[in-house]
Order: sequence, then C-alpha cells, then structure tokens
Amino acid sequence: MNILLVEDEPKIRQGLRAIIEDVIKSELRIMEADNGRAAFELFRTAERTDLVITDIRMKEMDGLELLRRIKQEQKETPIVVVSGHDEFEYAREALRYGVVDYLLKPIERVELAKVIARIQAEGKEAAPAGDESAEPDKERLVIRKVKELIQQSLGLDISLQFLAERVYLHPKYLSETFKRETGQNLSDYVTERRIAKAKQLLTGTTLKVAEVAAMCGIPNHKYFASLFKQHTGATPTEYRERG
Amino acid sequence: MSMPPSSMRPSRLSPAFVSLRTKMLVLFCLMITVPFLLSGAITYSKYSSRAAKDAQAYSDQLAEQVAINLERYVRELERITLSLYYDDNALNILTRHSGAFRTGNYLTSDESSKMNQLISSAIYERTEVAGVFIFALDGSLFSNLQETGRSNWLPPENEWMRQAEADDGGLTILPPAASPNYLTDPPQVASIARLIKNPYTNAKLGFVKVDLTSSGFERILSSVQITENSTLYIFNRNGDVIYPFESGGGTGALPVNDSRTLVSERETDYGGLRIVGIIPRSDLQKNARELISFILWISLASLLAAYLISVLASNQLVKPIRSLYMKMKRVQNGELSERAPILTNDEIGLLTAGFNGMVSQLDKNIKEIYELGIREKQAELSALQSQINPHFLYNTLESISMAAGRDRHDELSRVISSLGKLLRYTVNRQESKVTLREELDFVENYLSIQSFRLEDRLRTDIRVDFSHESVLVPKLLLQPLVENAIEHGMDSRPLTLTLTTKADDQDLLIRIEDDGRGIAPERLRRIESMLAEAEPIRAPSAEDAAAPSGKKEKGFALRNIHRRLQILYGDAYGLSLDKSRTQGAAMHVRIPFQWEESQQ
Repeated sequence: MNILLVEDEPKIRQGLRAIIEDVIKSELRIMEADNGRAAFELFRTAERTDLVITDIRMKEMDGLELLRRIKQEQKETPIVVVSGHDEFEYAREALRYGVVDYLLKPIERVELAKVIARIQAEGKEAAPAGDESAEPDKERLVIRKVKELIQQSLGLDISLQFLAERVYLHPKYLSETFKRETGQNLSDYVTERRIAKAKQLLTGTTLKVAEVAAMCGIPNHKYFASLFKQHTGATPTEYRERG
Repeated sequence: MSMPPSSMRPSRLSPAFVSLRTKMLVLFCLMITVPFLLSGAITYSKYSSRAAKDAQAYSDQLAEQVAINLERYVRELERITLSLYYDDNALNILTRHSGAFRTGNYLTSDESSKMNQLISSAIYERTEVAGVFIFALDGSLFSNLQETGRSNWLPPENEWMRQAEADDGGLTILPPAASPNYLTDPPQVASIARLIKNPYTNAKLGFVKVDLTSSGFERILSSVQITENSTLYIFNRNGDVIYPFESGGGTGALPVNDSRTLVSERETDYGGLRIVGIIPRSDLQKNARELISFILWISLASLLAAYLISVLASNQLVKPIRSLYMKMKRVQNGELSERAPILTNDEIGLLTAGFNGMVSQLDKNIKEIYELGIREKQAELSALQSQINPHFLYNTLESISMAAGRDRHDELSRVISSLGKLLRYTVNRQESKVTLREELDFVENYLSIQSFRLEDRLRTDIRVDFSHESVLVPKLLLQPLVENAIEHGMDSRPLTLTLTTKADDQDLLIRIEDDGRGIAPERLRRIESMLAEAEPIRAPSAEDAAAPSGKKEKGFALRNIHRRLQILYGDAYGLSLDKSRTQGAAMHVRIPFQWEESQQ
C-alpha cells in the first residue's frame, strides 16, 4: 500500500508513520512530505498512491490546495485530513473535495488506525489478516444478547453502562461493536425499539399516551411525542386514530 | 434602578390611592352641580318671594275691585228696601198694622196685592232675589211670594230683627241661613234687612228683609280667581261669613298672613262688608317648584353629560400618563431600550420627553459600563489567544502524543488526546447549549484524564438513558460539578463517582453522587446559604482572584452554575444538595426537559 503522508512537523509525521506501520504490517510504502507543493510533486511522480494523509496548514501550499489538485489529477484517491483546526470553513471545504475523514489533533491512535484499516479493506479485495475471523460469531452472540436485554428493559432506563455490565464488556467497546455489527448506533436502536413498542401499545391498548410514554422508558411525554413524530411522521394520537 | 418598595405602595399615613380619573370625575360633577344648585336655590327663593309679592298686589287689587262691585251691588239691593219709604200705600199698610203683636193676623187681599205689586216692581229682573218680606209690627208678613210666603211671623224665628233695630234704620247684612218665612222648603239665603220707620214721625213701622240666593255674589265673584286654590270670603260687620254660603254661616276665625297662606283684606266703604282673599302659599310656590324641577332635570342631564365628558377627557389625560407608567415599569424591569412616544404637547409631553431623556442616559451609561467590561474581557482573551495560538497548542499536544506513541506510551497518548478534546470543547464557545451526550463526552474526557492522574482511586459509573442523551443542557454544566465531587470527596480511599439521570415530569434530574468523605456540616451550611442567596452572578473580582486557595473559586463555580440555571430556566431550577445522604455527597441538577426538535 502506497501512502502519502503530508505534515510539516517532523515529530508528528513520525508519530503518524508509527501508527500507520502499526496497522499495516506488509507491502507498505510511505512517502513523506512537509508541505503541499512537495507532496503534490511526489503524488504526480509516484506510480500509484492508495491514500493521502495530510495536514491543512502548511507552508508553500496548504492542505486544501493540495486536496484540490489531487482531486483534479485523480478523483478516486482517498484522502484523510489530520488537522488542528476545527473551523467549519475548513471542514466544509475539505468535505467538498470528498475527503474520507477529518480527524482533529491531537488524534486518537485508535481513530486513525480504524480509518486506515477501513481504507485498506476497501482498496484491497483480499481479506485482511486472519486473526479476526474467529470473532464474528461470538460478537454476534453479544449483539443478540444486547438486543434481547433492550427488548426486555424498554420500560426502564437503558444506559450504555447498564447494557455493558450485563454482557461483561467495556461500554465503549460495546458501543463500537454494536455500531460495526449492525451499522446502527446503539442509542438509535434503543429509540427505534421504544417507538416500535409504543406503536404496538398505541394500537393494541387504550392506555393514555403519557402512560404509553412511561412504559416505553420515555416518561416525559412531550419529548416522547416529539420523538414519535420524528420516527413515524405522526403524533401518538394521530397514529392511534389512524389505527 | 429598582425603587425601594415603600415608594411603590402608598404608606400607611398617606391617603388611599385615588385615580386621577376619579378626581376629575368628582371635580367635574362638583363644577356642574354646585352652580346649578346654588342658582336653583337663589332662583327659587327670589322667584317665590317675587311671586308672593305679585300675588299680594294682585289679590289686593282684586279685593279692591270686588269691594267696589260689592258695594255697588249692596247699594242696588238697598234701593229695594228703600223703595218702601217712597210708597205711601206701603207706609199706610204698615201703619195700619202697627198694633200690638198677635198671631193669626188676616191680610186683606187688597193690602197684600198692593204690597206684592210694590215689591215686585222693586225687584224686577233681579233673579237672585229669592223673596222680599215686609214684617209688620203686629205679626203680619207681606211678601212678593203669594203662594209660598207665609203671612205671619214669629219673633223667635226672626232673631235678626234685634240687630236691625240696633242698626236703627241702617242696613243690616245677614249671613246665609235657612229662612223660616217660607211655606215650602226654606232656601239657603243671605239677607239684607232694615228697620222701617215712619219718615215723618220716625216711629218704628216694621222690617224689610230681602233674601238673596248666592247667584248675585257669584256673579260678582266668579270672575275673580287669583290662583288655582285661592278662596274669597265675604264677612259682615259682625264677622259672620256671608259668602260662600257653603261655609254654613259660622263666624270662622279670620285667617291671617302666615307661612302657609297669603291674605288680603278690604272693607267696603258702605255696608261694612269685608272681603278676604286667601291664597295658599303653595299655589305661589307651584310655579317656583316647576322651575326648580326644571333646573334639577337640567342639572341631572348636565351631570350625565359631565360624566361622559370627564370620562373622555380623563381618558385623554390619563392615557398618556398610564402609557408612560407602563413604559416606566418596563424600564424598571431592565428594558432600557423602551421609549415612550410623545403624544401630547403639554406637561405630559414634557414629562415623557424628560423620561425618554433619562432612560437614554441610563441606557448609555449602562452600555458603557457593560461595553467597558466586555472590551476588557475581549482584550484579555485576545492577549491569551495571541500568547497561545490554539493551532500551536494542538500541534504541540500532537507532537507529545506522537512521541509517547513512539515510545509505546499508549496511555499517555490517550490522555493527551483527551486533553486536546477537553481544550477544544472549552475554547469553542459557539453554542451555549449542547446535548447531554456532548456534555457527557466532555465529562468522560475529563474523567479519563483524572483517572490517569488518580489511577485506581477513581471509579466512574455513568448511567444515562439513551433517550436522555439528546436533551439540551447548558454547556460546561457537569464538569465543574464532577470536579467539585472529586475534589471534596477524595480521600485516601478509592472514590466511586456515579452520574445518573431521571425524568421527573417535565424536568430532567441529573444526580452526581460520590461515596467519598462527605460534606462537613460547616461547608454544607455554606453551600446551602450560597444556593439560597439569589444574588446575581458576580464576576470574580480582584479579591477573589487574590485568593489563590481555589476554595473560594469552587464555591463560586457552584453558585455560578446555580444562578446560570435559574436565569436560563427560572427559579424552580438549579442545583440542590441531597441532604438525606449520611455517606458521601450527592448533588442534584434540575433542568427542564428540552430537546432539539429538528434532530434526525
């Protein structure tokens, strides 16, 4: 994998390189540049570039200009921005050029690692290293357990901690796993299940809307009505009348 | 800016609040009623005294007129009685009958027809004369009435003769009485009588008596009517009532001028008749009363008109004052941009202009003070920013993180990342409200740094229902509370920090709890009094900054959060301590359940 790493500060560049090397263990070639102009030269002369990781603010030519030029040259090249700037203007412009991700300094190692791994997986048809193949079944079991738990506890307060404790996982890990396995945020899933239960209660019973709200773990019935409308396009009362 | 409350309410000593409108109403009413009533009273008294005077003059005049007419009438009647003196036949007949009194005299037809003729010619065309009787001394009675007149008389029936005798040939006027000298039903007649004497010898010959019905008097008096209820009386010399006949001939006491009646009297020069006109004063006052009632109606109508006008006028006057008052209230509540429109070009206009000027000045002063403060803060901030460029800071952190990563210091790298996020969240002041999720992320970052510092001594447990994660909370709400809990709860033992949320009706309760050493009673009191104090947020002044212990600052942090919540959401919201705890400490945050509608 050919990666173009553009960062003006040597220490950070080295750090980034270390992370990349941690993630990708073979067939790796990292080209380094400390400004946009040099980077663009490298990009043009290199026979193939699989990923560009760039800072925004640099001398000679900044990251945004580099993005624009690379995109002109070769549209498909995935680009990841690593920047200390979270100004909306930068982010918007970067996103317009179709960057894969926009990471804020100081970056979390895991974050960058995940992004690189994803791009690697997308770029290569070949399966990644075999050490992950054993896990899916076990993880799917966990997800099923979590879903069951949620279904049983819809009337209660469901927090990440609550779920994590019951499946003996770290909350953060559970949240990430759930997102990876189902493609959905855990909180969105809980809300979805609650709305589903509410729908069922609204049509199946004659309970008051406030009672239904409480039974679905959203005791604030105004908030419940708002959520319900967002999910179904109708207020609870309208939904019930429609049958 | 706010006035002392005592000046808002009228104090106990000052009179009760009376609106300008009421005052004007009273004034208007007084202005209408007092002159009207005064002029009414004066008119009434003047008019009635004038009317009395006029009536007196008029009735005097009438009485005079009546007296003249009456006198003439009496003279005419007298002539009937006097006609005897010029008739020898009559005198002869009477002389012939002047013997001693006896009953059962016989009158020859010659005598009676002669007498009859005499009388009839005298009373010719006098229809009011009921009958004329000539009494001879021997008891014979001659009259013009051949069928109905008696031919004898008896002394007891004719008491009047004594008076006629006393008058000695003069005219005697007798009050109305039933005459006994008729054969038929005796009519009620007034009479004039006279003693007949021989013109030569002056010897007594008899009496003549002319009986009069009331019609003669009526003819004279009928045209005389002073006022509606006025009455006219005629008295003879003895005070007997001659007219009207209905009064029964009694000798009624003569009425005099008094408060109820107006009397005018007049005596005839001849015949001794007294004419008395009696006018009840009420008659005179009748017109005056009508006038007064007219005036009263007019003043009533004017009062009504005055009421309407004063309501309108006071509205005109009071409205700008009221609107000015409302504006003042708004200014009092801090709306310094309020200006009152100047509607009238008078004192109120001046007042309004003065008010506006005052408020603008106030507004300007306050803005200056505020702006000064803001500018100072901005200057401080930009000084800070110029010293530490965020980009530089983040890059530095990144370098450290990378260095740590290179040396396999993964934990250090993670902490630096957390620190960066913490800084970024704190510095980024764009929004004042964030979702609870964002706030929790921030707290987690903070806790991850604290865990790094405290290692195994800090455990955290954050239990927030997924549905609460999208609730909007003020930014930087939780971290100071968590920091506070760690700072005051931590001792040598490990500390467990629990953060839970709970929906309470329309509010959200956030509970931050620790199992640490708890709050010392003294500090508990201080915190409570601090939370109870509704003092506005005070920017940390120089003296606070001078206290480097940080304790005071922490106290301010709690109070500032509390005040911030109260200002944002109202007095029902804010921080509170859970006093039921015997171990550790628990702090409650109550905020309304708000969320972003446009999410998803």
